Amino acid sequence: MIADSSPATDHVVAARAVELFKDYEHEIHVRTDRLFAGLMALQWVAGVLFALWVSPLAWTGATSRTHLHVWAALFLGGLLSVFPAGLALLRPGERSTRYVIAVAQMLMGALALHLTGGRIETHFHVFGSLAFLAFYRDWRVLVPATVVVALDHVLRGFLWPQSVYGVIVASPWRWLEHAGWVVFEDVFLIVGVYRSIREMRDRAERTAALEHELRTRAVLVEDLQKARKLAETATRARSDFLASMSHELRTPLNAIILYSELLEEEALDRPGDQSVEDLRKIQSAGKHLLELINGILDLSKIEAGKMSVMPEEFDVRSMLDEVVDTVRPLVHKNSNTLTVHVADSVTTVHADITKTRQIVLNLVSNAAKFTRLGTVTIEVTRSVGDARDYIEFQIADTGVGMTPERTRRIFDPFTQADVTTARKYGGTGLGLAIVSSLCQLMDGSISVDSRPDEGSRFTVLLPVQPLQPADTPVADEAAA
Amino acid sequence: MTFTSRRFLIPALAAVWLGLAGTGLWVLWAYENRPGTAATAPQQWPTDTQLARADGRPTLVFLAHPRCTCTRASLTELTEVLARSTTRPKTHIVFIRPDGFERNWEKTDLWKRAMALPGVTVTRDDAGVEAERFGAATSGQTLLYDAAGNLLFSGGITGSRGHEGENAGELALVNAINSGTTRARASVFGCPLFSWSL
Repeated sequence: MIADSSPATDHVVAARAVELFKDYEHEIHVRTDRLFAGLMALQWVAGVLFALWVSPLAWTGATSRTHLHVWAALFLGGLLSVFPAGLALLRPGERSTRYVIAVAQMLMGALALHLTGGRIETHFHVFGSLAFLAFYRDWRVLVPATVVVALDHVLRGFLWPQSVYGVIVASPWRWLEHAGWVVFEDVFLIVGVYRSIREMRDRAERTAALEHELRTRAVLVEDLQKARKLAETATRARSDFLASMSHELRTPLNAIILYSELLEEEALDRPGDQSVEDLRKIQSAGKHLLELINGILDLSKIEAGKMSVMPEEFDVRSMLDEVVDTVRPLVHKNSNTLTVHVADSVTTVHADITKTRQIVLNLVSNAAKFTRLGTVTIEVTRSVGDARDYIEFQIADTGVGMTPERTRRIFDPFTQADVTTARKYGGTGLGLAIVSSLCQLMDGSISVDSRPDEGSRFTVLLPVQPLQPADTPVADEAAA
Repeated sequence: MTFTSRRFLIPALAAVWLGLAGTGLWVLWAYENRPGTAATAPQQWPTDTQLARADGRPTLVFLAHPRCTCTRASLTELTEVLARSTTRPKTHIVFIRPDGFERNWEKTDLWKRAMALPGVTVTRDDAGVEAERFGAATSGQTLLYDAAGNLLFSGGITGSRGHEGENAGELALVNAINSGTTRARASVFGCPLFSWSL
């Protein structure tokens, strides 16, 4: 969760929670108004049908007329239903609407009592109506409803006590007993309403907090997307620039190296010419610069997604022989011993031979460069993975090794194990970054285990077969 | 419409509505609690009646209009009275049938309910002759005569018109049956038995 609990944010979230709570309340009030509008209509129709069924006619001897109950159900029931139902439909959610509905519902109960001849069962209409009114989740609605019941009892208890208490003379306080039972139910309903409101408020607060968090996240995501686009654009621009600049640099640089070699040859033909040493320095500097430019070009192509893999079937041993031949002078220069072990199971692989050679050559060159009077070992085995087989190259040395901190950053571009390393051992700091990128490009991996003064062991895993030839990038390397 | 008048519109309408609803309910209450014409019952068991009086125990006569819906409550209360009586009175339920109605006009649900009561004699009273003999004018009129033929109770056994539930008339009747001596009167609620005044 994104935590942003400044007072201003808290205020905004709290205000939104109040707004949401009011929305929920209004929604419930409107929905309950509509329910009651339907109930009113239903009660009206039911009352008329009941009166027509139970007491259609009033008789006086041999003559009959429509019973008063029928007229009462029709007109009084209509009066009690139409006004609140109309308010529910025209002014839903208004406080006055639900108060009128509360009063109407209890008066409807009184009418139902008349129509059913005061049956005790009909009194449940009162209790049922109170429970229904609690749907509003507004305890105040129960007040007018309860007052109507109490007033009905007070009035009828005073005028016709038999009709409500079943006795001719009743205590003037008997209404309190009846109203007390209604209040008894009210208490439970009010507790229920209070709990429901509390849950509703909690829900509003949670929703407001969630909304705020989502908004914050959306802004962050938008910012990140903008930053990513900018970064991608900048990377592309940089890669394009580097690619074109490297190309432009390499052409004159190759010319410089070539001409310096030609001049050196001519100088060697002139005994005593002092410029030979200077020309060799020019060549050395030029080659180092060319190596650096080639590295930058490779890295920028990989980053720009323009480096493609060209898999082909090749023999691992032959490729290793080429590498060993290339690196042997460097190994011997530092008085190292080179050992190569290739398992019998290692035969051919289907991979990009140029990149595989580049990886192995780079690692063996590094091992030879950072080891003096030691051993450089190349071990090649075949390992079986879950989905496919791998060729595992292990290049180990007994050289200077690295600390864990340096080991962690060893595959980052422009990073050498030590700032003094470049001065002492040379190199551009791009080699391992390129090797790592090439491994990833070939669906493989590289790892290193190293200890200071004990040496390093680089492990490269490359698939024997690519998963699907279509998985490889199709960009035209030549176009870069 | 101005803001002020609109503000008071709903309360004003609600007040009118409440007033009309209250009036309607008041009319209903008044109708249901207005007693019918009380019987001018003979103090002694009428000699010209065709109904048989019991020897050695009270006789109860319940006179009713077979189509009076209010009398349903009276029959319910009569059942209650008989159940609570320690001395079971001989009971006649008499349904009047005015002239000019077809055969079995009186065989309504009230008749069937009366017939279902155990130990009760249900009688059709053509043209309300017996009702006139007992001076009854309102459906649900209940009369109780003691073993000697003296009138002990005259009145209705519901608290109001068509309303079930314990009431003064019912209690007085049960008391009269059980004591055998107490005299009482009560208001009777129900349809007029005759189109004319007795």
